[in-house]
Amino acid sequence: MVLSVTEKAYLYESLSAVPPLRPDGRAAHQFRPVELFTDFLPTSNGSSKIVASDGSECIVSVKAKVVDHTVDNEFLVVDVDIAGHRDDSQFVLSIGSILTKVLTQQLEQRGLQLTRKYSFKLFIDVLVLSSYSHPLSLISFAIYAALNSTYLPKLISSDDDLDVAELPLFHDYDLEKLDVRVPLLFTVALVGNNVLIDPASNESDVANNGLVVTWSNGKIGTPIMTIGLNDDNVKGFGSSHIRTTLEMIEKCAPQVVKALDGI
Amino acid sequence: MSVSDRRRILGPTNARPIQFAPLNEDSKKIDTERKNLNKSVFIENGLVSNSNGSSYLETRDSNGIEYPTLLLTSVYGPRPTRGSFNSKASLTIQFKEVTAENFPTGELKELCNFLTNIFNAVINLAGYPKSGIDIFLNLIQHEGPSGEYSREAILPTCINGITLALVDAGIEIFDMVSAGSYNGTVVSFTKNGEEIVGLWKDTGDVEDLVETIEKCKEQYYQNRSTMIKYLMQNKK
Amino acid sequence: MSLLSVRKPNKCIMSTGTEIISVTKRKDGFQFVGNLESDFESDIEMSDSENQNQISGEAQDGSIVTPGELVTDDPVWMRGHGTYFLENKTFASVAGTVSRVNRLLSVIPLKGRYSPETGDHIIGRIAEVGNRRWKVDIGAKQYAVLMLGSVNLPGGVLRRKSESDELQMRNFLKEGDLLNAEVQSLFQDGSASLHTRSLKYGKLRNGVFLQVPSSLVVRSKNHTHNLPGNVTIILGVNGFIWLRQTSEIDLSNHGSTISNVNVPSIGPSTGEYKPGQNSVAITRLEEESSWEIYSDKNDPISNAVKQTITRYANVIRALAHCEVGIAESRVISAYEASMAYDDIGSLIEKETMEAIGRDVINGEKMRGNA
Repeated sequence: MVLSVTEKAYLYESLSAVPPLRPDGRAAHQFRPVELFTDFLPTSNGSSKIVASDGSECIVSVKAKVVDHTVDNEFLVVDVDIAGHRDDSQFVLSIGSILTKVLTQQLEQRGLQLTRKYSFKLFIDVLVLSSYSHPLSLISFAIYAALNSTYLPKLISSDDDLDVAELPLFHDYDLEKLDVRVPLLFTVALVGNNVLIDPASNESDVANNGLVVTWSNGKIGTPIMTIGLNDDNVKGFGSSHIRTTLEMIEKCAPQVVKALDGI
Repeated sequence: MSVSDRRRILGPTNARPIQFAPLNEDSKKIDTERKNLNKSVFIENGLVSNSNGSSYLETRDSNGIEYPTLLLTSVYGPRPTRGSFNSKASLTIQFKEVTAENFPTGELKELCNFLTNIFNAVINLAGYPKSGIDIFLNLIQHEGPSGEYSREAILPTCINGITLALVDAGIEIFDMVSAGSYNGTVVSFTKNGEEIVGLWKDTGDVEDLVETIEKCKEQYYQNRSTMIKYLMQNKK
Repeated sequence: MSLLSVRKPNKCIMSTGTEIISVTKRKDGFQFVGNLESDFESDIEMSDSENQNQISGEAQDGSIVTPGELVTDDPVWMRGHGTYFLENKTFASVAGTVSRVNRLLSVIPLKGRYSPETGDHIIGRIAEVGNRRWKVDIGAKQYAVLMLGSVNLPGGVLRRKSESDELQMRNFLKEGDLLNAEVQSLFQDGSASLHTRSLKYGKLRNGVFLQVPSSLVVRSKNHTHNLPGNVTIILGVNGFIWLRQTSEIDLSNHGSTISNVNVPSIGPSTGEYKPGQNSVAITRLEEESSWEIYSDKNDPISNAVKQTITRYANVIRALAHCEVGIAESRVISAYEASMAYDDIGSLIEKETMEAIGRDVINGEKMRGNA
């Protein structure tokens, strides 16, 4: 949606004030409420649906396949589909690329290993049904919830199969919970001297710049990168912004993890 | 029945393989002159004649000529766009590997997104309503120090290349934007290093981020002064 | 199918509300209305009632019908919107309430896009600038049209629109600009033609925009209200809402639009409503129709007013969330109810929004006007 000049001026002025006055009254470090649904796709090993308060919605499905990891060392495939964007558009491809990178970097491949020869390969399919602000953070919450509700078949054959060639055998109905530490991605908007977490669409429209920060294993990880939230209001920022952002994420992320885990 | 090979073109019977003459002394001298002129970068603007502005960069590792990065940047525009009214110019950046394809498509798009965001902040887009500026990056050759292809190594070259090409095209920019890379991090600065317009950290520790940024800033100063020096020399 | 009915909705709602993020978890991915089995039962009942309807052949005025349901088999009725005609019988084509005006029979959909009517006070956003006209997004099926001749231009109301005006249309209104206007007339295809020939209409400044379903805004005589806390609200009939800092014009308009008494020299006030009627003397209108009405600058707005505007915006979102009709009195009582929550940011939580909605409705019941 295109905002009028005065709307933008009003928003920019409010958001760059000290303390920032966000259009929905949130504090700088406050997220919008989300609703989570997990484990509802019967044909997936794990699934989740997340609904944000602005109506953004995202579905994630996790499926697993047994592969010979000596042949196929790619243990993760992320596929992103965003309604309203072409699959080969810059936007969709770069989101897919960021997610693939984050997950391959931060997920421990050991958690997927079955035997010395075979391991699970995860196929994570992301479908964004509607999104108004930058969907990256929402997608990462959904992936987090999906992977943490993923159950994989339990191995009953021996895990040492280097000498004796045998295919892994699984229990008929016993499932084991996938135990991996899933990274989270946070987006912040930089407006004036302020750093605002989880920017809504109108906030993104007037933001001077955006940052994506990864949180994994209880600390800030990589990648950290600037991200364009709009085309026509982009400006540089000082290194103090980066410091504020990192401090804010360090403070908020444990609580977000707790909120996502504690349900 | 003659069994002739129809699947390939055989050429005349008296054909001989091509042979290059040995390099003469003069061309070697030019090469060393170039090297002496600037240890790490070779810059040439305006090579692509059908574009509005272009730049050609050869970046070499500071210790030798083993790992050159060759990048050709061409700028087209500002040219009129069709469709709905825009009060500001729209910017597109496309990146192509000419000789070998080493980056996955998604990563290339991510790179373009990142570069577009930087130059959205730097180009005076409001000065060109109803127009579009298209930038094409052609990576002719690149090999990282360990033989692998890293974004970290080419991103600063891309940013320098685009800046020079924009200057060559005479498109208004607010500042000579440039970048430096250190330890898996690329940081792009403007305003004499006071402002960051792009930050990309893929690997490494976050603890020393501030230190890393300072290291990148040093490279930024170097790169920027090289570009300015080139532009001043070229003017004469 | 069996999967769906076996699985009960089983809503185990647990929320871990912290001040940073609230995550509510539901067990199922999709929400079902009630229990499916009971739905089947009621389905049967419905077909029963349908049969009864068919016997009597009538759906009463104001009753709710679903698509395909027989509304009447009396051919004398004129068929309006939301109905179709088959073998001398009139059926509903939308889910909604039956409306009978004289001999016109129509079904008004419960939900759906805004459909403009002459005289509606609406808010719109400029979508395109075209040849002597603007296309305005008013949330209806088609863009509305605002002709260059239907706006006040700088330098007096009654001057002719010149070619230079045509060339600088974007200086008056450009893409993205918000304005409030009145629906002047409707075209054959149902799209609206707007006008802003009054000081209470025109470009909007000094505030924020929010949108609610148009069905929640009831058409009334007055859609601009000065709220406590130095905030003025424009409740567009199309569900577009503008909250702004109260200006002097708002204050001077307030009395006149309510009572319609201090209208000087505009002719005999018959109380009859005419499109374009305004409460400001022609001379003053001329004075104020300078470039200022197309200004792109906000007046200085204090943080306190901005916070009040945010609070109003949040309570209106809460009302919309509870699907409560939005009117001046409700907005004010919701605002007062929200004062129990010190932190404006806490008003975005679902429970808080529902609590406010309940408070408003209960308050009305207590006063006995619900």
